[in-house]
Amino acid sequence: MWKFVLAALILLVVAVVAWYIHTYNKIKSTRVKIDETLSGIDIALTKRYDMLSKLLDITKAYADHEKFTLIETIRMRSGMSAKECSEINSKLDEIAKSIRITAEAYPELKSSENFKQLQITVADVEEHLSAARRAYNSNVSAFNQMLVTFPSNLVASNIGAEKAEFFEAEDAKKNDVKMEF
Amino acid sequence: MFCRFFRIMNNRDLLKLAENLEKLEKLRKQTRNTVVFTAAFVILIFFFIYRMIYGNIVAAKPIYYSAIYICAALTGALPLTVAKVRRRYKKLYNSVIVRNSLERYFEVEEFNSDYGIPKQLIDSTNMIRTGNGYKTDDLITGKYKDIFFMQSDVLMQDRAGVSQYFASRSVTYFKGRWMVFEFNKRFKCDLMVFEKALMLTGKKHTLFLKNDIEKIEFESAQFNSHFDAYTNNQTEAFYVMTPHMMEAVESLRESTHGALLLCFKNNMLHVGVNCGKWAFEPPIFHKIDVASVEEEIDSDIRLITQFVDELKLDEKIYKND
Repeated sequence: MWKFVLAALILLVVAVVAWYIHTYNKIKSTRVKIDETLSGIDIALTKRYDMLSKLLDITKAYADHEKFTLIETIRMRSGMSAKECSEINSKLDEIAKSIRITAEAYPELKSSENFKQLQITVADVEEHLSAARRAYNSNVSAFNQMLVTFPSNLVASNIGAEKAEFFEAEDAKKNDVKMEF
Repeated sequence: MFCRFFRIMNNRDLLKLAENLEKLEKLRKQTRNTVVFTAAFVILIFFFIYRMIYGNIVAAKPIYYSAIYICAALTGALPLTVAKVRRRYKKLYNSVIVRNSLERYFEVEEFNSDYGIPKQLIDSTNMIRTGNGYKTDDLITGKYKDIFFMQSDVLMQDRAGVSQYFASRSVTYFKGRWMVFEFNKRFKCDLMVFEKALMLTGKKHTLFLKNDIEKIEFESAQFNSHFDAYTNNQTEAFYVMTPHMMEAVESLRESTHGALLLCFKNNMLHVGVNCGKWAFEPPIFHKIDVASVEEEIDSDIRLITQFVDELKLDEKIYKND
């Protein structure tokens, strides 16, 4: 009888260890995914910054909007946190908005081929940024769920995993990017 | 007289059309008779063979074995005759009736009832087993709202048996329509979206053995409850599947009969509708009523236009041409 009890105990221990390893790996791999998608946001933000700088160069010839100086205050660097990315994104939103306002006031700017092409590229970059943000937040959501739900929270607290922060977008940017040409 | 797509015709054209319809009706009757005759003949042959074997006639006179062999050969040849007559009827039906309807909606580049989408193209999506009994016809290629598309009827099954006409066992993976559309974004990923109803039948492809493919979930709980998505690049998959796309796919799921498969690959969108029937099929057992046939064709065409309209594939705002 004691042999069966021993076998059952061994089986139970093996099952618990296997589950622990599986959960541990899942938490770690989701964390890696979060970092990967955050670097995706980084890349998309840099592209957006570059494209908006080019658009600004064209727009400056038509109007010297005070918001245009905002771009000089932005310092892009790699490995930014979600909060930093979110702050830079908000500044870029303001610049994009002021460019659009200027283009509305100067029809010849709006109809210039170069401006139009750049605007299409900016729209595409913004769509990529939006996708990266959604992918990042989806991973953060899955990760945070593991941290608060039982029994995966036992493993998470054991390895000292901490909640990841969401990439907050402005309300206006939460919808799909829609550019009117 | 002949409904809306025949309205802008002169007298000569109308006369030709009437002639063609008459020819078509004749062919339909011929096809129907061949089908009925074949069915009756096959039943008779089986009855005859049954009687010969179980009535001890063969045992009494072994020469009757040859009679059985002749009957079996005839039974084998008959489906070929049916297929031949049916093909002739379908070809005329397509050129007289279906093509007219298609041209009202699309810039038709090619419409051929003899072949369809190549097996290799569907295999390249890695979505579903095409099997050794792959059959396709009614290839349509053209443009709708300046968006290139192709579509054809497709049957994917594994068959085990004597020939392509006779199979002792067959497993059908897919029967329905396959469409390929030019997509309005450039993307660098493979994204496969399966309606869960299809997944339940266990017809997954070897795609799922690939290491770089992972299951992903989107933000919409409703979408996730109806579809399973797999990709090799999560961020790009989110770029392709925007919230609007998810809503559109949901509404297409509701309006389409049959499970949906979507594959985004090489800047193209593949759509499979596993509806269990083929499009643009001519009636065999009832007279061709142009109005009702036209309605049926229109509904088959709407499936193609619906995908372009709902998914807004004609909005190329992110594509610098």
